[in-house]
Amino acid sequence: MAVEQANLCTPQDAAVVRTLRVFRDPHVDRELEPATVLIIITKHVMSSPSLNFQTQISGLILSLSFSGQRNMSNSVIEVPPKGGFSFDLCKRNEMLAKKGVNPPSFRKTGTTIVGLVFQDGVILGADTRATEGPIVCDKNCEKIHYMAPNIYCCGAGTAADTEAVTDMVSSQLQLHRYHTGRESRVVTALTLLKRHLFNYQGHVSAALVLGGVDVTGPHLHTIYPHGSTDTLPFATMGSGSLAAMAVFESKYKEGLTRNEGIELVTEAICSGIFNDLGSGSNVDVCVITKGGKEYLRNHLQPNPRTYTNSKGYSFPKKTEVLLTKIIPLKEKVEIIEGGDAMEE
Amino acid sequence: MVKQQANWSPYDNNGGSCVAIAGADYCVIAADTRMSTGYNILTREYSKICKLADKCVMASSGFQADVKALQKQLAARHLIYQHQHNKQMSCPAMAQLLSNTLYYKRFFPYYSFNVLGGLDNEGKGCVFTYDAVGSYEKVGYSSQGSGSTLITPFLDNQLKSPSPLLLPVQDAVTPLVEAEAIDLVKTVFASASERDIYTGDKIEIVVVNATGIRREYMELRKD
Repeated sequence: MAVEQANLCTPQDAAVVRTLRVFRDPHVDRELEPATVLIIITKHVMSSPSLNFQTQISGLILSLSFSGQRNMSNSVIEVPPKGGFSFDLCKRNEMLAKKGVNPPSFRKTGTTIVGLVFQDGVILGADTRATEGPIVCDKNCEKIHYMAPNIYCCGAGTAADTEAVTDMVSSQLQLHRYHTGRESRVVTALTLLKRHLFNYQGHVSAALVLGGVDVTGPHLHTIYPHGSTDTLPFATMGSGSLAAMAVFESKYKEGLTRNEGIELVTEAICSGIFNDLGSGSNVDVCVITKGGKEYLRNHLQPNPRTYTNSKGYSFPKKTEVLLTKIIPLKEKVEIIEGGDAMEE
Repeated sequence: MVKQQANWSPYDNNGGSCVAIAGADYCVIAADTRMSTGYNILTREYSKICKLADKCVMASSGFQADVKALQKQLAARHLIYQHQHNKQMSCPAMAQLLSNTLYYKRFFPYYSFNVLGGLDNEGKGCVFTYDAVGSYEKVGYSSQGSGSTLITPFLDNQLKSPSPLLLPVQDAVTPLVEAEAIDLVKTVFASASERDIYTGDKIEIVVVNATGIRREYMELRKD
């Protein structure tokens, strides 16, 4: 029977086929009844909440041909190995998009984030604008996230993704610190982040600039949403990365002092703020050295509000009352005096 | 094989916002001066406002190439009108002309969102608001462009007549004085540029009144 020819398009299909195999009694040379197969498939689909009914059932049943050819020789089903990535929901999303049901847009930090290595450590910088499409949803958000006392991470991309991934790895680092009794290393954070991002094959849209100082020295890395990393003396990410990189490439040199480094980072972020529409508002800077860290929130605020009316505006209630009608509520319960007392 | 969609579009959106407010004897038309494409700024000093006739000014946002073509078209037709009638076009006449010009290209529209402002034959302020294919309406105030969703609710709150359901029918033209209207426009653009990434750099404010046409500028956020 043509279960063998089933279209094994997803691991979920494979799981169903495996279940079917179990039901085939190898000692009795008899094929499975079509009805039995249907029951098994339906049961499998119903019990698993993450399956997409349509593609599963249609995909499998179309390829199961109950055309009465019962005398086919037994052939081994090719089953993909267990485990691996499950992309069912991605297929479902594609199917929905084709039908015109688009996924909700998420808030991205169309962003400029930078990092550079200077004499005594690393300096990270970021702008503070979060956008939802063409609208600014947060004029002063924090893009430099805490990972460890000596490690900070800037995040660009989907705001929820950068927050979640940095919080998660920060917790893992803390547990690791308790286990080992040592200060966290930047490469540990790097490996934890890149493993997580690679696992999600780029669907976790977080582009990060990770910097810190540990026992082995100062480190600066970039991490891309698909999980690749670079180790660099200076780095930029986000929609404003080209504007910021232009500044870095012109003015960076090795062995910068602290003030020179902060000035260069500020200049690069400003370049992103003014030339990229996805970045804006203020500049945040974070300086990490062997001695400690300095988080300069809103280090520069080059965009004050341009005009405020001195007199202000009043907002009178504008809804017009066209008609007033009062209907008193009727008494639904009649109260009877002196009834019997309630019994236990 | 899935049917291939076009991956080239003849249109682009250069962003920006425009506003116009009509008063008893003046009309204020304002637009920001930023021209952008995607996430980039093309220029910080582009004028979206065009003088069509003596007492008639148009501000347009959308695709500036189409806007330029539209302005040229209207200027040419206005010249012909002047030769034929020996006078300038009035604002309501220009409003109708603009509507017809836009509808002429109903099936390959000008990607241009316009507001027309000026004085009518009696010297009262008038504002006409358009969609991309020429549907228009005489209103007391209007806003178009990327920041319009942020600007219109505020203008509705400050300028709108109490209710169109009440009698006698209130005149759409605002009772505000010219200086107050300009103040309102500045506030509205400052707020829009805080939250809309395509609005910013500078505002160009044009005031049309009995003495003529006056132009002023105000700085906005540049990020």
